[in-house]
Amino acid sequence: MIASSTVPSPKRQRLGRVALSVLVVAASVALAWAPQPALGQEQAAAQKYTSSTNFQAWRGSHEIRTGPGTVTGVGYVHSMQVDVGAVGGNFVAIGTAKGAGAPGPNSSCVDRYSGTWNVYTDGMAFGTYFCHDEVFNAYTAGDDVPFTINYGDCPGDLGARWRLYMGGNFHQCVNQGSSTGSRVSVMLETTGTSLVDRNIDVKYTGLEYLIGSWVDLENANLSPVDNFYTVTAPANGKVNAFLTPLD
Amino acid sequence: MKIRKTNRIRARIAITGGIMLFVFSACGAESGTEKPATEGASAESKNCGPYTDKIVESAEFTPYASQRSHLPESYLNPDGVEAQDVPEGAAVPRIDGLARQFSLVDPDGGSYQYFSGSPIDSKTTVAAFQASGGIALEATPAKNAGLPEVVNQVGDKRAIPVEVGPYPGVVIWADPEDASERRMHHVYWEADGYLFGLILQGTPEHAATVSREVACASLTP
Repeated sequence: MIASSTVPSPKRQRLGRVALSVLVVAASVALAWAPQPALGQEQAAAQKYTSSTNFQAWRGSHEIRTGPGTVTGVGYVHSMQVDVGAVGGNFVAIGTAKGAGAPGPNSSCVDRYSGTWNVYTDGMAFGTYFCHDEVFNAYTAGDDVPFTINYGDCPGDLGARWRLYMGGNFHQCVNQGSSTGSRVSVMLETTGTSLVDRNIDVKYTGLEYLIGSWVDLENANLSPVDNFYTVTAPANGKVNAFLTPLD
Repeated sequence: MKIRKTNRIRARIAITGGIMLFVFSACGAESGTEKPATEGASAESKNCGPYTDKIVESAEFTPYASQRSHLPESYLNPDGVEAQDVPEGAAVPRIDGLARQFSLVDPDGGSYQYFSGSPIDSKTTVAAFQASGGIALEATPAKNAGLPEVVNQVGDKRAIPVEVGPYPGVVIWADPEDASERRMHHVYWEADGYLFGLILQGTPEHAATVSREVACASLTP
């Protein structure tokens, strides 16, 4: 008697299955349409690469378009890079960042949750990551800051190395085995694991690489890793990258 | 990887002498205790067998998730070009049973060779190559960066000294290059005017053993 009173009739079971199906479909539709937060560790890139190692230098300017509210555990990064030697592995980069730092044995890049953007340099050399905070609170939204990465003699009798400049100022020399690169890129990245929604926007202009002579970046390979980023190259030497939603 | 005897001896004397001088000066050794530069040449038959000592590595590293800049996804041969000829003295046809599948050469003489059980085409990523057990061998001009520069950049804790044939070298447990957080081993040593860098998976002892095979092959008449 107890069992028969707790088991629904076949008709009720069918109704239950239908109701459940409707619920699942409705939930799926709702999830698809609802704004979703961007995940951590995201990047969008505009890059030029070849099966050769002929890039000698990389330059341009990056206009900082937003000053996103800093969220604990989230890093906001505009990165300009040369992939040194063959593709992958070693690289050098200079950029602006705010928010979470980059803790590690060869890193002095700390958390900086202020309202302005800091200059940093980083990269990978001989299999190990390094990072330096160069200038704190250097730039704000609206600043358009030139950068240059090239190979040449460094101050202090260090010999020839990769040199990193931002805003016309020299910031770092980096030792690498190769004096040329296989890829140049500009990036927009967020780091960290927070699911808090992000809003970040950067505009690169005047992008040129040196292969004997200076060449405008054109036909760049654009690689947003997910649907939240948008990266476009509206003209030669120009790249827009942003993470929705925009202000 | 055959080189002429005269060049070999000249290069070995210069390189061994330079590195010995650096190592001993870094250790604070008095000049009177330094070994003659030519002593390294007599050691060419040493340290060519399997590396049997236990290598104790630092636990320090930077996870991929903690790195601020990251490289975009990387393809070893995005244009699908033919392998380039590697300069004599750096060319290696096979490592640890794997055939050379692709090679690139720098304008300044550096070379990059990739060894794998599978062909490398325009769709082969660095991540897939590494995950499949591929081995990379770099040989860049030592004038750009030599072993002392490697140690200076990486730091004493992570650059563990190993003997790579007759040459001093270091093994490094590298930081991950992609979201898989896979960590390769790098072994660096100087020979014949190049800084050699071998990049592979496995234990540090295995990395040291394979690097010895590569370095000692160059000593075969």
